[in-house]
Parts: sequence; C-alpha cells; structure tokens
Amino acid sequence: MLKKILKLFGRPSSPSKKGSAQTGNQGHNTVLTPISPDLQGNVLEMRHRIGQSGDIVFRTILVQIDRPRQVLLVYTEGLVDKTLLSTGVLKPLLLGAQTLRQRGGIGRKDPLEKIRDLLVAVGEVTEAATIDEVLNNIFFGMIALFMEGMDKALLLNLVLWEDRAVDEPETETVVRGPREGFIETLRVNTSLVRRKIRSPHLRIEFLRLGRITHTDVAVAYIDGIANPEILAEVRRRLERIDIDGILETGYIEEFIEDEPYSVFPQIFHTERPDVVAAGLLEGRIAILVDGTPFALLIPAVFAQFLQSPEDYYERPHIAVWLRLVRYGAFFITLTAPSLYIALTTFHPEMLPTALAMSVAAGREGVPFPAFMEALLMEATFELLREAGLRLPKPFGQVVGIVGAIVIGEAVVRAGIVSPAMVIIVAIAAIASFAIPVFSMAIPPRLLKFPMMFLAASLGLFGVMVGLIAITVHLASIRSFGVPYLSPIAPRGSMKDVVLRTFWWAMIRRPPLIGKYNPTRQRHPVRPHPPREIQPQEKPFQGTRGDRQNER
Amino acid sequence: MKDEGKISPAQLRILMVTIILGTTVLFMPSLVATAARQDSWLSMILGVAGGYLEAAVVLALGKRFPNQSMVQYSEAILGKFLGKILGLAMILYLILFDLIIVREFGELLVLAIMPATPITVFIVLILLLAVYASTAGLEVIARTNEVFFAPTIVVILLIFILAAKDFDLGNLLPVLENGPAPVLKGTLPTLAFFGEIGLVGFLYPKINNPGQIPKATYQALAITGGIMVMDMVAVLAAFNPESASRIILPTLVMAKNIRIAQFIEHLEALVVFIWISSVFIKITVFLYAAALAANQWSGLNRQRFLNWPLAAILAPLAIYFVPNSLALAKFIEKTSFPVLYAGEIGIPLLLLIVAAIRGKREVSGHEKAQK
Repeated sequence: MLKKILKLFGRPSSPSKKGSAQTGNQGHNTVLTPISPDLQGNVLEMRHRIGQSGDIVFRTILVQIDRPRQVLLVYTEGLVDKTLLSTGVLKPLLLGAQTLRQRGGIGRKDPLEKIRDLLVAVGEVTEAATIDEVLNNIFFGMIALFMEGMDKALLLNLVLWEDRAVDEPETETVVRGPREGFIETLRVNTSLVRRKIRSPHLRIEFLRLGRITHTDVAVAYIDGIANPEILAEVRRRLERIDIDGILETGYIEEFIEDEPYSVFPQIFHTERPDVVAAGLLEGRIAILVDGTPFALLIPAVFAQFLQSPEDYYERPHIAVWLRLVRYGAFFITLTAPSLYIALTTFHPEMLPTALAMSVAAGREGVPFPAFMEALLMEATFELLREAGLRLPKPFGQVVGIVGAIVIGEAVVRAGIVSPAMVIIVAIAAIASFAIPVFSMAIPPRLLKFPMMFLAASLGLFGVMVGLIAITVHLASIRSFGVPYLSPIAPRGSMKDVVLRTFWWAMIRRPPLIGKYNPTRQRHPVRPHPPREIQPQEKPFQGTRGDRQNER
Repeated sequence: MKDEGKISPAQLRILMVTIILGTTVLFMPSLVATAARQDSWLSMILGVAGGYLEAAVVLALGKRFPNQSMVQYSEAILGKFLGKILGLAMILYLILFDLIIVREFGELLVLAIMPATPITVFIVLILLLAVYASTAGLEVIARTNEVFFAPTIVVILLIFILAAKDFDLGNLLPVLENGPAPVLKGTLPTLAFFGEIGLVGFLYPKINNPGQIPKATYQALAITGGIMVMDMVAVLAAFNPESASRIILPTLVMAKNIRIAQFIEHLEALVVFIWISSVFIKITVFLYAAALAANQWSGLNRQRFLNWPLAAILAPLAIYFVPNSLALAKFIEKTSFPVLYAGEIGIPLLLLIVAAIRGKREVSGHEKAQK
C-alpha cells in the first residue's frame, strides 16, 4: 500500500494520461525547477516557495563520503518520526566515513547512491529531481536529503504523525459486533479494511484530489465482485472533481452523486470497517478519504439506510422486527404531524368517537389552528434539538430539562398547545432518532414541513399527494445506475430488505448491485441436528477437511 | 448504464392490475348490478372473457409489430392518410378516457372525504402530479406502482375479510332468474373497464422481453378478474341486489360499515387513501400513453414536453365538460361507452383484420427508420 503512495510520489510532475493523481499539481507552476548542485541555491529556492512557514526544518550536516560534503535535510516538523530520524539517518550519516570504510563502499561513484545503499536505515527511499517534487513530498512527511554537488535529492520515508486511537464509532454503536471505527488517517483505515478482507482481490487504488490540499483518496473494491461498469463510472466522476480542497467525504459525495437537488442521500457513508467490508463483499465500491473517519459506499439504495450492521450479527428474527420498527419510524417522522393536522382539521369524523372527543377536549381553549400549533411545536423542537446538540454535554442536559418542562408542562398548562399535539411531536421526534443513519433521518425531518402544509390545506388528500410525490421522486432517482428503490421497485430478491433471512439462505448477493458476480454461497447448507446413523451406514470417515489434512 | 426507460413484463403485469382495478373496484359494481341484479358476478366473468379477447387481438398485433405502438403501425397497415386519421382518433380516445377518470376521481373525493372543497383543486393537483410522473418516464411510473401495489391489494383483501361477517350469500339467489338477457346487459359496462387492457397496445414497444408480454397480460386479467368477481360477490352479499344498484360506491360503503371492537371503524378513509394512489397511477399511465401516442403521431420527438399541453387540455375539460356527478354518470353510460368500445375493441380489431388481409408485418429496415 505504501508502495502505491510512493509510486504516486515518484511521478507527481510527469504529465500522466490518467490525470487524476496529478490534477493537484497543475496550475501552480507549470515550469518545474530542477535541483541545483549548489545547496544554498536550493535552500533559497525553497525558502522563497514556502515563505515564512516555520514548521519546515532545514538541517545541514557535514558528511564524509568521498570527500567531506555538505548534506541538507529538509522535513516538516511533526510529520516525521524523530527517533528514527536521529538513529536511522543522522547517526549513520555522521559516522558515515567509518561505516563506509568498514563496508568497502569507497569504490562506488555516486555518493547519493552510497548513502542510499550503505548508510541510511530507512525502508522506503526514492529519488527526486525537482524542487517541486521535493516540496510536495515533505508535506506528506518525507525527509528530503540534498547533497552538495548533486542535482538529485533522496526522499526518505519516515512518516509518523499523531493519530487518534482506533475507537468505537459514536454514531454507529452496536450491542453485538466489532467495536472498531475508522480514524482520521487513511493508511490506518485501509489497513482496517485489509485486515477484514485478506484477499489479493481486494484492490485499493489511490488518487489525490484537491488542488491545494492534495488529499489522498482511496477507492477500494473487490476485483471480480464489483461491477466494472460502476467502477469505471466512479473513477470517471472522481476524475472530474477539480476543487481546491477535500476535507471530508461529504465533499466527494456531493460531487459524484446522481441527483444533486434531492434531499435523499444517494451515497451511503459509515465509519465502521465491518460495514465497508460487508459492502465490498456485496459488490459495492468504497471511497476513503484522508482526514476523516467516514467512508463512502457506492452504489446505495434506500433500504440500506434503514439497516444497522447489527441486523446481520444478531439473529434474524429480531432483525426483521427492528427493520419493521425503523420503516415505521421513517413513516411516522414523515407523516405524524401532518396526519394529526389532517384528521383534526378536516376529518374528525374518521377518528374513533372516544378518541375524537378527548382530542377535541384537549384542543379546547387552544388559540391556534392545528397547523399553527404543529408548526410552533415543531419549530420549538428543532430549536431545542439544535441547541442541545452543539452545547457541551452538561449544558445539553440543562437544555433537555428546560425543553421538557417548557414544552411538556408549561405550554400545555398555559393552554397554548394541546396535549395531543405534544405527544405527536414527541413521537415524531423519537421516531426520527430511531432511523439508524443520520443522513436518512434528515429527509423526513425536512419533508414533514411541506407535508404539514399540504395536510393543513387539503387534508388527507394533501397527505397522499405528498406521499405520492415523494414516492415518484424516489422511484426516479438512481445511484450509479442502480434504481434507488430497488429491490422494492423494480422488484428483486426481498431477502434482505424488510426481511433479513438467515445467512445460510442468502445465497446470492443483493440484486443489481452484486449482479456481476451474484453467487455468495457456492454450496449452501441449512444447519440441522445430526442425522441418526443407520447401522448399515458407512462409519464416519471425517469431513473433507480432515481427509485433506491426512493427505 | 443508460436508462432505456423500458419496463419488464412483471412490472407490466401489476401495472395493468392497478390500472384496471383503479376505477373498477369502486365504480363498477353498482353499474353492473343495475342491469344484472344478483347475476352481476356472471356479467363480471363475461367481462373478463371479453378482456381476454381484446388482449388476444392487441397481442396479435403486437406480435406482428413488436417494436411499434398501435399509433405507429396503424399507418403501416392502413396507409399514411387513413393511418394518421386513425392515430388521431386513438389519441383523442386516450384523452377522453383520461378525462373521465380524472373527473371521476375528483367527484369521488368531493363526495367521500372533502365535500366543501371545489373539485378544481383535486383535478389540478392530480394532473400536476401525473405530469411530474409521466415526464419522468414509464419506468418511474411502474416503480411507483410497485411501491403502492402491495398495500393496495392488502387493503382490498382486508376489506373483504373484515366485511365478511355481514355477508349473506342468499342474496345471490336465484341464479339467472330472468334468463341470460340481464347478464348480457350487465356485461356491457364491464367490457369497457376490462377493455383497458388494450393499453398494452400503446405501451408495447416500451416493454422489454416481448416474449413474456402475453403471459403477463393474461395474468393481469386473471388477477383483476378474480378480485372483481370477489368484489361483486361481496357487494351483492353485503347488501342486496336492489341496494347494491342504488348505492353509487358500494365497495366504499361496505368498508364504511365495518366496525370491530369499537375502534376499527371508518376504514373507508383507508380505502380512499390507497385508492388515490391507484387512480393516480391510472391517470398517469393514460397521460403517458397519450403523450407517447401524440409524440409518435406528430413525429415531434418531444414526448416529455407533450405532457404539459395534454394536461392543460385535460384540466379545464375535466372541470367543465359535465356540470355535476349525475350528468357525469349519464355521460359515461350514454356517450362514453360507445366511444370506449370503438377505441378499445373496434380499432384493434379493424387493424388486425386489415393487417391479416394485407399481410402486413414489421419490416426490419423500416423498424430502424421508425426509431
């Protein structure tokens, strides 16, 4: 993997046909500055380029090789391993003459080659010929080694920077399942995926996006399972991106999605390696970006957003039930306030009589029409939610208490809002939290306002108009060629949508996404208790594995 | 990766079920019961048989011209001039059909759930929605239908099951009291409804895997036929033939009468709710078919755009072409049925006969020119 990074490093300035990795370098300097044999000239050129930046270290030492030569080390403070720098680079260089004499390397011509082959104790060493190349690489944590009289520089890879520990992701917790989550370092994230899928078919391709940030982006897929057409499309769309900086996968998501104006997320994101691994095994393609723990999964379908990784780890019975609950939650978030408005304003006769009576009694004395009442409560709730979310935790609790007292008690006591309305808003709010992926909790949360408006003006018909419009919209969008509502519409295998069948029954990969290589289980077996051994039957000869071991 | 906009035969199957059931479930029982009384269910079976005949005609034409719609091959069969005239007639027939559905839709909503709201609101809104879906293409319409299909069928069956405790199958006796004449008379309106299967002729080139189309079409008829016969039996059993013919929307009233445990009641709201989605699909498919036909007929290659003028014609016509629901019922019975028969059965039959006589089939070179 590092080799792949280095490969990119090796040719950052050559005008490549692939273009993607190089988009970042174009535009700055079209004329490249070669490294001069004069050390001072190089220093001046670099100082000129980086300006007043104080985090770049220039260190000159004298090394005895064929003759005493000045050697210049340039690196970024904080991005290199300082221990290794002193033990693996500085020390051997300073003791250079002695070592060289012992190892008989004096006869060789190129002093840089001598340093590379005989002195420095660094795993990855490459050469650079231009100042531009050197500058690009030292910002990635490489150490540049210049030598007086040489028009080349060595790039030593001693990259090490501060990482967050691999931790349980806070946004996607599970009761049962792995507890690790991605962190902000791309190399760690790719290793987490690699650790789950130990196959040569797992391909992780790197490219660099962001004209100024030069952010590393990894495209991961399993060769032979991922659909090559979709993969080509992903590459094409990624190469189209031309922006100064990529700070989060959200940037990329917006650049490569199919329907930019839709409220619905068309690309799945996760911070769990196991979810990415499962997606890859289903034939999806993952995009990981350096600097963020969130990975993208492509293509995404609607049903995916109402699934939790735990569905696959816990027994299917509960998974099916929880999925039903989540579909219900989605529907309730979207329609609870509008149904309340429609029923109380237009169709009170449709409620059971006793219920209609108590709702009407609660509404007595309330000065607003149901629509205003609902709008007021929803707005208050949005305020509370936002206020509680951004505050430090202790304050957040205070907001919660104030909200509960203000909304739950005072507003009702003062007769401004009816108790039924408070219940409805609370149910809608709780339902929105039951949607497992936050980005899918957003569409119903936003769409409920137009739904409320439709309900207030047209009653149940308005609600239905809203639902139909949303369904038509959902039916019309696609994620990288895969219809968003599949496999509900167009109908495909429903084994893993609302239902989650047993693992031994999910013989094929999800339709459309995994169609390139649909078979997940070659010899599906339903588990069963051991069958009684008949007396005539042959004695147990061991499983296939046992026999192979004997051989 | 490019969207071809074609639907699968499986999608066609449930699309046709929704289209036919969309209006029949609510409107047909009382129309049939007026004529055929307790033998209405026999009329219903005859109506399905008529639907099969029509489907056979349309599918035979489709087999001759697998890559063309009815509007396109009518020119090949009858010649340019006559073909164009017939094509125009077909477009007008589609518009008239959609017009009736849109108006029926508005009337029912006013009648059933929102008596104080002007019908204009419903008609304009549903047409806007229809244009939105129709411009998105047949594939999107079919997918939307797939989402709503399962709940629709569940609600219909649920109503039958819950209403079953009021059923008195004795209402269906005596069979054929007045001979076969009333049954045949009752068959007439059902023919118009089941004849909607002829829409397949317009959508034919938009369906992939043409070999499967006949099977899908016949299955669609079988499903709708089964549900409608059940519906008719349920309506007759729940009321008696006399009141079944007098109640305009007996299925809805049947749902209204369901009361279980003092809490499950007013199920008619659920029926109307789900019915809105089916009729929406129906209106949209007819609008789509009309836009497709108009596009092919005119050669404009502006199918998406054509939805707008068509809807603009439909909206005022639907609002003003009859003054009230009584006049609408009269219009449907007296004026529209002959036109619908002509459009559904007359035109395809004429085309098939002429095509058979003149031996017209799709030519492969011609096929490319058409595309």
